[in-house]
Amino acid sequence: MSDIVSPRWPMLRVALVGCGAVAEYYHLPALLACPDVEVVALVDPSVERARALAQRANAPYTFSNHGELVGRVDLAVVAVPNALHEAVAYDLLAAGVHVLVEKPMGRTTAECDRMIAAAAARRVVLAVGHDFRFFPIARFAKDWFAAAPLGPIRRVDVRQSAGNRWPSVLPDVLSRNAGGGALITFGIHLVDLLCWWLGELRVVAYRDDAMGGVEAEAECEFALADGAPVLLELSWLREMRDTAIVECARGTVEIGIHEPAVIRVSVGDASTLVGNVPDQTFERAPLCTVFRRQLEDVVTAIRGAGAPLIGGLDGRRAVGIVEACYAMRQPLTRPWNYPQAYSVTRRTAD
Amino acid sequence: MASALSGARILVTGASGFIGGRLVERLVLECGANVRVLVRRVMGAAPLTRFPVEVIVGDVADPQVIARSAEGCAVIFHCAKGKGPDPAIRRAVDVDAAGYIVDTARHTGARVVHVSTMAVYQRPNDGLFDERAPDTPKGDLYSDAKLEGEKLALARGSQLGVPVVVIQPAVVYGPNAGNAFEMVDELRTSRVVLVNGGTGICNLVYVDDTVTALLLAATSDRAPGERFLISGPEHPTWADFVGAFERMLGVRRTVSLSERDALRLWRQSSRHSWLVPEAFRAITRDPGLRARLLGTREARAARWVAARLVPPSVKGALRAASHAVEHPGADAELPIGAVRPWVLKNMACQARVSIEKARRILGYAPAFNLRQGMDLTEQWAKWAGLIQ
Repeated sequence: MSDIVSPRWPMLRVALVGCGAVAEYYHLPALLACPDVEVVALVDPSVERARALAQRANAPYTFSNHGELVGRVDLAVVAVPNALHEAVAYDLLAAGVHVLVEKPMGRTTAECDRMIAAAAARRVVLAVGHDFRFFPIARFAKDWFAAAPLGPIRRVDVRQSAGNRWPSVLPDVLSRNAGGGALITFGIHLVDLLCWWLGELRVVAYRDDAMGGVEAEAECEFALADGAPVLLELSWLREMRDTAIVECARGTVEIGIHEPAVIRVSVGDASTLVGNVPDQTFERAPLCTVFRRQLEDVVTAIRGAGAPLIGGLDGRRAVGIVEACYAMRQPLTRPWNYPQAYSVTRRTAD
Repeated sequence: MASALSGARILVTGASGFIGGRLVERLVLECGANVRVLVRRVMGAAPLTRFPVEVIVGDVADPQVIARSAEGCAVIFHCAKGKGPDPAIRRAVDVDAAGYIVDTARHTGARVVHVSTMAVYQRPNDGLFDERAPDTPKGDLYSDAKLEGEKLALARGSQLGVPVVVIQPAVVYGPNAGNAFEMVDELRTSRVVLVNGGTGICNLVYVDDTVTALLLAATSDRAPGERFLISGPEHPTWADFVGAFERMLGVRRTVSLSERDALRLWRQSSRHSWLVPEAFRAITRDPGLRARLLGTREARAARWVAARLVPPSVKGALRAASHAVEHPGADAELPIGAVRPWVLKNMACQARVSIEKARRILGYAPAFNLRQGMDLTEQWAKWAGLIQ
């Protein structure tokens, strides 16, 4: 592997901490495809999983604890369960290791603050895995909203399926220990995107269907800085529209969150444009491409070419919004769930 | 019923399924039970972890997984169902797992409530039938495996002194039912056959009534060792059931055929590949997929070749099919959906399930008639995006 070392920079020694689904299917392929890094260690409490991935990466080390990494790596990709993000990332940052931590950055802003402080103290890069920003449609939308070709935003409506086919290895992702359910685990991607596109979001109301567990569905009502309402609806249970509809003063734009990235623009009542956003590199395994771009961004930041696209403050902002949502939680009920409570007459006998 | 399960540790297999999922909700919310769910894949538990349940991920047909899952449980509900065309996989869940569960219950002292089906019986052509109806195998993958599973569970329960109760629901419908997805899909993409005008009896039971029967089976002193047919409070016809979905969708898409003609249609259709109607449905449902497929190089090449080689009569038929996809209201051009022979037989049947035994022993009293059940199903269908 040393044959392809860049003449300017030595290869970054990288560890993948946490060998679950996102590590196996996305982070590891991205790391293996990147010429600037060398995977040297895989860390997981399950030695079998760590070894299996280490074999694929031809990595010399497998550990059950991230503490073993200090002095052996330059960058750690932290893809452990949500509950451990802060503990693992903090230790590594404090030891001078650059960190790309999966989203959510932490379960609370307090956890995020400790990580940000540790990164600042050691002057290392802290990047957060809000990978949706690396979809080409997301960048397009960012530029679109910055240019505001249809005038000021009047209303935003986002409906998104929350990835219930994700091949999770451990049920931790569905436990209260994860900090919450569909919103913090998946919806936080959309929260980050909306902030990136549209600026600060103020939480107006929040409803979800958790009843002693974690939410499978959530409805968030936000307001933009000028008061324009934003609705974000998420579901682990059903197929949704998977687009953001943004009504502006002079027309409406609808943007697909996922590939194929559809865009529909209606100007006034007259003209409508519908089309896919072409991107040749997205023809196969788009999420792998997204993770490769994310890694390249982090590597570039470590090389000193500026901050990563999603830094600790961005990660903290998204966690803060989620935290505010949970603090205002109202129950979300469905009529067919408890028909006894919805005036359906019970028959006692024929 | 509910208070008897309060605080009890309970295992539900097949908890990510239609009946098991609703059972978990009611066990937690109405009974205050301490529920553990066994699911095949993590995200299958997403609808269940809204409640404080314990999740175990594993294969229900693995005795070690069963042993781990059943530890400390007072009741085990076996709701898992074998799926797919492979008889070995069906047997593993419907039969082998049923045996492992009873074996395990012997050690934990649990009661087993085994979910089977009305389909295990040879139904008469008309009149009431009950648990004394003949129940010999019929050569059908689903009902034969379910029959073998329930017999094994009862026999082994009796042998080992484990209290086993078998619940045999009629056609279960309601929010999240597979038959609701299928019915909406079929009425969207085809005309639906009603045998003899749909006058056959469609023994239906709303999902909540089914779950009520399961809860009663878990708590009734006189239930162990017995099997109970479970149905709704009335006996709607197939025309009633399909008609409820037609009203929901605002379409009239049923076609009345005699059983003989419907069978002939099936034989003609079964000569063709299964892939084609499935692909047609997928393309019909998903405009994005349609656009992507038609935009591929292969599709463009196929269209170029077709434009030069396909005879005009076939081109006309293809245009009509394409029109039907683009304009779903064009009913006359929609194909008639062929129905499997055993379903046709059921559709023609006038036999009605007797729930007398369940009433007498379990105190079962179905609460939802078809109108009430379909009202709730319609609200769910709107939420699920099946209808506007």
